[in-house]
Amino acid sequence: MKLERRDQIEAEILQWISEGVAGPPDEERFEHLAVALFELQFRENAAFRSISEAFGCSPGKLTSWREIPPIPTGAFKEARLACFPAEQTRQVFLTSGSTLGARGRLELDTTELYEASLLATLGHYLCPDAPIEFAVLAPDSAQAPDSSLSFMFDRAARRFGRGPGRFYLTPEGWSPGRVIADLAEASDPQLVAGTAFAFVHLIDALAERGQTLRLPAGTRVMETGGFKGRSRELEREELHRAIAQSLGVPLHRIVNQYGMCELGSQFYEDSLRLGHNSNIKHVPPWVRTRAVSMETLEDVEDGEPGVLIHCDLANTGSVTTVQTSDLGRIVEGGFEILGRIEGAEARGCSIAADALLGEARAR
Amino acid sequence: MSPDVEALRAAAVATPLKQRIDALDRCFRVWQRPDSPWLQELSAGVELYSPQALRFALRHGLAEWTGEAMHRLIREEAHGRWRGPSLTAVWLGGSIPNASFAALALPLLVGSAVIAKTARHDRVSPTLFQRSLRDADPTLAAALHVTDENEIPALADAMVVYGSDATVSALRSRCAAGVRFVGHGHKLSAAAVGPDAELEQAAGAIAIDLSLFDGRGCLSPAHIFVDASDSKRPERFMELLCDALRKLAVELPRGRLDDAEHALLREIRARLAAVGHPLDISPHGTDWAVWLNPPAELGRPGLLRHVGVSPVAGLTGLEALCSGLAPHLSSLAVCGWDRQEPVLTSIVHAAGGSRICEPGQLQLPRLNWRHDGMGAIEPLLRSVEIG
Repeated sequence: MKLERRDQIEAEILQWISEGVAGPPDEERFEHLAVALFELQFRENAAFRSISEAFGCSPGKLTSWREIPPIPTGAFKEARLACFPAEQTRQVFLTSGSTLGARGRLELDTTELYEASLLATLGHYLCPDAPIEFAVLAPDSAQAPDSSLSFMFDRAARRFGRGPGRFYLTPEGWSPGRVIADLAEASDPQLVAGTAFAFVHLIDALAERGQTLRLPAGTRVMETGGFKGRSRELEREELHRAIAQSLGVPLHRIVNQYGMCELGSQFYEDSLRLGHNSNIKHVPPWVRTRAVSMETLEDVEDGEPGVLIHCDLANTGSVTTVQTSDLGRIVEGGFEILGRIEGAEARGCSIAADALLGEARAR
Repeated sequence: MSPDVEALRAAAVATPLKQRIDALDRCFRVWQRPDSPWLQELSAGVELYSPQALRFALRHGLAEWTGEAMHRLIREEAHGRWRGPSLTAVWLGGSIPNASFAALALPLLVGSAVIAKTARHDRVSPTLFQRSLRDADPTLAAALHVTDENEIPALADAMVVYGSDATVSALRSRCAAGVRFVGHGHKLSAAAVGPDAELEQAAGAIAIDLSLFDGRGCLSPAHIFVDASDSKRPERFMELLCDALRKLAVELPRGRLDDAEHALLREIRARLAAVGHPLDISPHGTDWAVWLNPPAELGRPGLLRHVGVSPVAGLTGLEALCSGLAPHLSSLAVCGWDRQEPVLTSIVHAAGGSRICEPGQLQLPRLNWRHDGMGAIEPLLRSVEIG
């Protein structure tokens, strides 16, 4: 049956998500839903339609989900990429700020799919034995209403938490002493979650006190996001070793999550369930991740480095296919992150004069 | 390995002016030949530019380096009893082989020994230049040392720096007192199409300016201004520019880009398309793109054959936009502004520029171009006046 209405498509995707992350990838099902979503988003999302048309892609021409134009994250700073009128927006997530000023923006008119997807993956990879106590090194969603990370922790704590969860960051900052005291007194297993740079601060605070913790057996740590420019930088393996040492948590119970504001779904390592370290990010059945050549947008060979593109069916109200700035490689079971393609390096002597031109226009 | 400065100086002193000019003339003639072994080696070693584009750029860009032109330059700029520095430190920047060749040849021309530090993105062309010079004249070549070491030679009595403003400033502050310092910082260029221009011809020529060195150089047009007295002309120009870039994508293909550059171009395209900018892009890959009314916040305009066309309201509009480029304008390619040379000169002057040329010539400056308003060799010379 051809799916045209958004509620029909969403019902199918919700059904798929409800079947869990361990289900088969089912190519035919994915193709059917991704193409239906492309047609819907082309019809309802003016900015996406403009991009698709500029890139020569339209519903009649599309033969596979792989041909859906990937939208670079930078485009989320430029235009409203949404399939519904602005007045129906119920939730806005903003990307973290950068030196360029503008922040990417994801608008949602419903969080049903977003929540379903995040809970399915987080529950599977981090909380198979829920309920568990949440200790979150981030603000709660009331304090940070435009943070997709706070939203995720908030919803996860509600679903899998023993209680509402303890959120340690406030607009005024945070008190590492309080976190340390709470964790030191904990007698039940904890899920300690936060960004990489928050963990760096926690580790530093413990080191300043000459203290290490030994968190209760069954504790797990979820670390996410980068920390470039936010605190001292550590390689991920080094960070995990430091967390293990400072909190007294086995390495395999420290899980890195990879997610981005523009996507409804996230990707986890399976080390907690496997009982040993793994840096493979697992892709839920309703998402496809490709590593591509930026020149051709064609897949590189498995195992070879390429720029990651995600096609996420949980993104019904915006765009399914997002081009990241992350370098990775496809491996059996998922993908690995290799680094970032940072801004193109100037390999000539010309100057970026856009700002100058802007000043001239403003005069 | 540290160079033997005395040997370099001795080689420079041992080569009289006529021999230097003849050697450079012979050297550059070989580079211009379609079957030049140096060109082939450069093409093999430099991925940033396609072999076709390199061949075109070197054939046309080095055509000025004739013995006659060098003699003329000496007559024009070297007055009285002059001499060049005994040792010039040349700090190369960017990735444009033509510019590197000129940077090495000019101090050699005035009889200076040269220690040249290669740029990070072009280690190849200075070394090849030295080898080609050795073929033409081993004595003069012995006055040139090319290195990757980031050290300022202690005994240099002149220093010529190409690079970012920050690099120029940092090196200037490290130079010893008494060292003649010549700095060429960051610059950009532009093209301005006037009301009297024949649009197809202008578009074809500006497409060449955009394509040579793929927008990486300070002589690459970062902005294209088109007079909009007739409101349809900017759009028509854009169409013609796309046609020309389409052809040049085959005839003078772009060089190799890395993933970050491709990603940047794809992001620029998507951002423009998302807000409905008039945009025309190459059908495959990221070969080229042209758009109207470039938004100010888009980074790196003109880079890698991706450029915006800005309609301007006559010379007043052109002046307003060019003034925003001050003091970074280098060159302005102009056509179709008949009998407006004084105004155009004033506009370029105010924006910090030092050159007006025809479209198609932006990347091919004359040997005696007063780069940044300075003579080509004059800043290096010391003259003694008698009487």
